[in-house]
Amino acid sequence: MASSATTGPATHSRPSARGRSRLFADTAQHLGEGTRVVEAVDTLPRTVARRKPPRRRKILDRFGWYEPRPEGAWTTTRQGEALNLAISRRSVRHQGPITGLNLISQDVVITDPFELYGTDISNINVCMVGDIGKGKSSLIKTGSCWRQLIFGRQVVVMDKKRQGTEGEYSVFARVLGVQSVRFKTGGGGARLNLLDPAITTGGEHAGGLDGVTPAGQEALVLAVLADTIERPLTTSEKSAVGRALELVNQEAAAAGREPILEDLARRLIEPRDGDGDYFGDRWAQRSLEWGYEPGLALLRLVDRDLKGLVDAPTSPEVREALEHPFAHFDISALPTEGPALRVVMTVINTWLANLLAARSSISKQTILIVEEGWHVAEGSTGSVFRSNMKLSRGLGLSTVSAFHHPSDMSKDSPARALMQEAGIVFLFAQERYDDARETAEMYHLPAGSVEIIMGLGQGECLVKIGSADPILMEHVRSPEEIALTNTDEAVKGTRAA
Amino acid sequence: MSTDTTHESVQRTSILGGEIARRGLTGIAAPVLITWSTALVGGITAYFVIGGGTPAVAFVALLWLGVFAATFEFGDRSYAAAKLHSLRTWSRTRRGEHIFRHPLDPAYGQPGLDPGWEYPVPLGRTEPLDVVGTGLDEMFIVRTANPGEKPYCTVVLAVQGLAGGLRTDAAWASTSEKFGRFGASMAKATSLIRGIQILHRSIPADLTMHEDWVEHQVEALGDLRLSAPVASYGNLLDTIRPHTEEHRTYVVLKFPQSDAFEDAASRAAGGKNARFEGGIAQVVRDETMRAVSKLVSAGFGRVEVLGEQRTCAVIRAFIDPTHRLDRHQGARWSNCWPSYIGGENAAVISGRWHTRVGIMPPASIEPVELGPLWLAPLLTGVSPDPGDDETAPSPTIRTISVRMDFVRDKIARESASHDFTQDEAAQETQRRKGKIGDGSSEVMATASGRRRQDLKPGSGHHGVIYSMAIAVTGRDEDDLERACMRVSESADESAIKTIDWQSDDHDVALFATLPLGRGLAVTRYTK
Repeated sequence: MASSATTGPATHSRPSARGRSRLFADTAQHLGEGTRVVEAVDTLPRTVARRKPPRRRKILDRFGWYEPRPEGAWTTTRQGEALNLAISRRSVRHQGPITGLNLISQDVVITDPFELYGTDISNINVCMVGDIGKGKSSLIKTGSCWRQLIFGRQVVVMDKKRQGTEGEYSVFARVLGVQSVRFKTGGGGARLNLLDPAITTGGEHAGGLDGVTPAGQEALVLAVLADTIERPLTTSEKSAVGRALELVNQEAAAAGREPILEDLARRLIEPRDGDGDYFGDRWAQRSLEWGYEPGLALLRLVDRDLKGLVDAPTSPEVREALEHPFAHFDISALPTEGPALRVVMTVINTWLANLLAARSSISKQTILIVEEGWHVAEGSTGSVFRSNMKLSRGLGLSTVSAFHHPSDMSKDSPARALMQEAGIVFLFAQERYDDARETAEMYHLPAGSVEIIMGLGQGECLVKIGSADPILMEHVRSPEEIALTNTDEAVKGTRAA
Repeated sequence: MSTDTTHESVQRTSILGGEIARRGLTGIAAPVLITWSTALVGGITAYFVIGGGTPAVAFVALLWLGVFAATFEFGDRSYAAAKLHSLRTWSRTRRGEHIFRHPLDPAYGQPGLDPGWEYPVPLGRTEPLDVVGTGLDEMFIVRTANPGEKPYCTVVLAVQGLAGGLRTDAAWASTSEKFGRFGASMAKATSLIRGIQILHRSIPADLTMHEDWVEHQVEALGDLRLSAPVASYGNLLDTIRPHTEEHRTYVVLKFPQSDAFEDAASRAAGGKNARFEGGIAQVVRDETMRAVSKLVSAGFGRVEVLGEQRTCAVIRAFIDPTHRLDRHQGARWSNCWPSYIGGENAAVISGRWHTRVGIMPPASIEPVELGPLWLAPLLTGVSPDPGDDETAPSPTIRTISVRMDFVRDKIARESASHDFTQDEAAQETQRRKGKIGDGSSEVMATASGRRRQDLKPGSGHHGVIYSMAIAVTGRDEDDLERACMRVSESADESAIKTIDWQSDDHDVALFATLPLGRGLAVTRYTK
């Protein structure tokens, strides 16, 4: 048989019988494979002339002798609507970290807020909604944190969830060789000065973009006070606080030190002569009384609830944290009850927003992760947080937050507004019908979504990007990510990598 | 958009099933009828030639009995059809028609290994229309002139498809209706597009561009502190790659060279004092633009008319998944045909891929209401191959092709009325005889009645004759076997009960799943 390949005729119009048998030989032997085909092409003899296909006969061709001509069936253009095969659209996006797999089209899903901005979304904040244990945290840790780092984004985590003796993100910090910044009430932990000079009085910054003005010291102090006193401040109280804040800052600047919250509290309780001159002769004396109650409230905070947290100059490790692409603020030791947690989270957010505003002209992309979003959604400090979030575009700051049950929140709840305003929303499973229905209604999902939400497995979610129809996604993790996002160690007694 | 997220809303559905038996006066295939007629005439002639008597009667009786027994369809196919199929397979393999060698194949030109075909034999007389110098050089029109049907031209469009995501019933209803209107627009009397082919190709997703982007980003960052997330991302891509699929849709417009078409081409050519081919190109271009506009307004996203390189790259990638659909540089009609060898269970492509082709008979579609996503299990829901110790996991590579030939409303209406009358008559006959059938006649009557209803004057709808085919590709014989099993399961979920795999003919049937406008028998309504 082998000889037929080498001794056959130079040209022929019909293969010989000997040649025919070779045509049935092993296909791999005939066709070769891969690059060798290309390499071999010039060295092989060309001996068979090209020829036209055999002639077809009309009647035989018509009845499928030469090619299958399957009989069709009758229908109409109305019923033929079902024959549309173009029911899915391929994603042409290739920029941005991959989040998971579209379970309908098996296409990769990219949900990067910075890459989607402008074309698909106008708000770069991200929100996750779903029951506990459905995969929200895992998605945030990978899609919004770990994967983002290699694309030049800075990730700042406010780590509230405790895993053993530390925050859940501590394992990320260790792998990346980053020192976690831990906050503790009563001292012993890091401090972030509520009156840090990085937070300007009114939020304006010389190096920033016009119109990008985050909350300043004054707004922050007033919010903290409103939450502490548990009533809105009067105009005279606000005026007194504003004036005292200005004076404390001037004095500290003159002395070459950072102002602290206690300075402000004392100045309000014990104003000096001339502090009221700003309000004119008629009110100069009486205005000295206006700051009495806010001053006492601040003093109480400094001595009790916020002691060792925001009442002293900012710790060096807090400033150094931002020198690494991954900044880990471990606030898991802070009590959930009381103002400490919310105040610290809002101060970090405001401090960060001010830092970013000062450098907004260099367009650095930053992601702030606040897993337990409801802590920053309520109260006056929550308002400050939310107003900072509204500047996300100007600051290049995407805030990622997570919530559990929409039905726990009233229709006019600030938390609900925060959930609805996000440009990208991940909707994980809800076990309770009410929660699933609330979720579907809140995001105007198509009919049948309630059942879909209730039937989602772990790691599966509906993703709503801007105003587009939601897609069904499965979060996919690398082996390293699976190890990093294992949060069962406390339950199972094992330690993650 | 409705905020009603719990209650069922009305879904726009269609019914394709119901045509469970062959139409026509006798319900018998034309070749069988011809054979019977020939046998009848031959028998009578033989009777007289033999001179009558018992031997002549016995001979004729035996002849008729033999012909009937051989040609009657017991089950899927008759004895004669099976034998003819074997004969055809034998004859074409003897001539090497089941083999094609690409010039880059080591066996190319080697006696005994290469039958020497210039182009794959199943193409027949199919070649690009020469439009050079007509001013429409960018058009790539393929002309097929095989004797079994009227010569026709085809043009390939790449269609982005409907926007993804979970949609409301109202949104689906709207897009379904628009697709129906698109079909009706193509079918109207003045349209020169008399048929279309829609192809859905599913292949492993090409992550090259994403990987290039990531590589660029990481290099630009140059932060060695982030080596762990970089390595992790690489592993993520390796993890996700076997599960990712890419779905592409192409629409082929078919222009039969009818009198109206030729008149229009002559007018177009005469008006510009151009060649006849120039006139054809002009007519095809104008009609193509009309179709593109209709598709775009039906919500199909971006629709692109493919030129020679892109069309040929698509053909090449449809046959050989090693090639990417978008890598069209250098692809030409003369070099876009990969090597293949046809076999009983598959066609082996480039010595690597095993492709099996099947026809999905319309009769096997269940006569139930089909929502807009009825084919989703087959189009996008086929499970990937999980792989084993030696084989990596991989998505199921497949092509689904739907061919539709349009029939003008008036003719379709007459046919529907005729079929409906026949079906009603058959039912009436059964009733009179007191017979209780298996329900087939009721299903047929419902189908023809539905057609009659759809085609009522003023509805704007037209008739369609359609067929469906599928090609499945595996990395080896076992992989193909598993892939076909998964595809069959998905087809079953899609209300398609049977896939008629084209044993011995996979290499030929493969061409019905290429964008060439093939895969549907000509009828007297569509010839």
